[in-house]
Amino acid sequence: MVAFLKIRLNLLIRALHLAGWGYLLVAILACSGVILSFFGSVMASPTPEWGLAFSLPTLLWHYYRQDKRLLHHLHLPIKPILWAEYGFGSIPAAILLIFSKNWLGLAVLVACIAAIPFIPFSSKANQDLSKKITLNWIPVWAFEWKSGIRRMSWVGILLWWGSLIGSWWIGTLPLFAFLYGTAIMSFYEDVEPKEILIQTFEVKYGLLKKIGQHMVLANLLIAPQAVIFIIFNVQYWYFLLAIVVFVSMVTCFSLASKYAGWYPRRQKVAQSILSGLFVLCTVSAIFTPVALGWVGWKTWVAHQNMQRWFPYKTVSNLT
Amino acid sequence: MLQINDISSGYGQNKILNNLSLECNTGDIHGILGWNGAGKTTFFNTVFGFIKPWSGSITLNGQPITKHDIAFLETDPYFYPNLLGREYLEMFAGKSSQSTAQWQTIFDLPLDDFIDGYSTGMLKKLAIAATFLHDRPVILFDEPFNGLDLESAEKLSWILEQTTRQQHKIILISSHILPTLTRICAKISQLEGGVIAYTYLPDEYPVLELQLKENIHQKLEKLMNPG
Repeated sequence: MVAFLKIRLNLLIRALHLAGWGYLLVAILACSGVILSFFGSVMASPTPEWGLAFSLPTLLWHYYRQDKRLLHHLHLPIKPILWAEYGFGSIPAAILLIFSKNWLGLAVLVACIAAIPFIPFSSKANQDLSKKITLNWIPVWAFEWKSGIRRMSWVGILLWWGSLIGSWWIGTLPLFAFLYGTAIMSFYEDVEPKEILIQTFEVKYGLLKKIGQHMVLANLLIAPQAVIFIIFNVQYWYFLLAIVVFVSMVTCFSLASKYAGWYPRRQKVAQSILSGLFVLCTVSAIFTPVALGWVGWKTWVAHQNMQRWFPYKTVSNLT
Repeated sequence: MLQINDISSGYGQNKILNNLSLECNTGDIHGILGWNGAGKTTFFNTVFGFIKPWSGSITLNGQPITKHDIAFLETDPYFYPNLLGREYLEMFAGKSSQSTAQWQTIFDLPLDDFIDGYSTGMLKKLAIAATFLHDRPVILFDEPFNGLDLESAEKLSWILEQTTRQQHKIILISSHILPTLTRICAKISQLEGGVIAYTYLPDEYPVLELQLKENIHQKLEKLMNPG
């Protein structure tokens, strides 16, 4: 078991090494304002919800982890391994809660981390479960959303309903919007086959049309939360505006990223650390113009790249 | 008519197609035959536009061909994850559920299941259905019979014949299954060393079969008796 945890630690170090230590340091420094203000919020309001919020990333990680077979194959005690991993990963959150003297939040975090290993992993059985989710209301052109919602399955739906119920509280919608943005990024990691691409890029502004449609859909899906939020917190209307801008920009950036580096038979676009940096730029007011410029540039590159591979129909070749 | 005039193409410095020329009539199935590594896939990728020809031209009815004129079934097609077979086909059939149902009947596909769970043969059948629903005047099939069971291969041959005749399509098809090619193709071109070595007409197909068999036997003899 110690050997297994060692392998995990090595993998983590390798991932950080691949991302570049210097780059990470710069990213953290660049976003230090956001991070510090986040710490400030946690310290200022020591409510038990923070414990729940901090356990959410672990819950998502647990649900989507792909190494169930490996763990079984190695005949290792699965639950102790998971407790050790999740406990180790939650140390920074626990420290923050201890510093803010949020004992109730800490108790919630510990309880959640202890309970998570009892939840089944993502598997074919979960795919069967996700098949029961009715997604006929999502139009054909938004196949990325159908696929993405099914992949998130009941976790996504629970989060959506949870955020809807808790939308009266000022912090729920921003927190949910952040998770929602991360989910949106993952929706655009897979690349569709060329037949579908041709249909999208058949017209000159096919990419812009697609981005527009997906932005509207992304915002419509959180419209119920937004309505409840504005009813209870009308004085913070600018929060809502910021969330609409954030969701729209993340959708546009993710879609453009998918197409900007496309080449024949490319099937996957890993949402890299750059995407994380983009999100941080978007949420920190001082860097928002940078994020806006970045998204514009990415869209232009995507348009140019797809016109190279799938030039739109001109009048001459239509006749 | 599809006209391929003196195209040369390849990867980097490696020239694969060398001034290749070919003519295909509307309503014809044109077979492409060649040993492994002869350049069949490069040829299809060049016609489709995934590889830019170094020289030469490809025209359809006198106009430069575009990707919008072509449906291309690759040897190893891939799909979008977590979608049902029906949802995938609906992207091409639009609201015409009739076309989707028609393909379900022909290939007996479990369209209400996730594509991720399909077998190799089912994936191939789904890709073939999508290729036809794409409805383009030129269809390229790179090894369409790979992975298909006997019944599905037979059905595909029949569909190919019907489609080319009734819908006046141009079909270019590569396969290693010679009896199927000789049965459905109006012409078969042999690709060798990046050029079309010879184009056989139906009355020459027995000669083609004999030549291929002799060629294989000669190669085998050389391997068995290197001295």
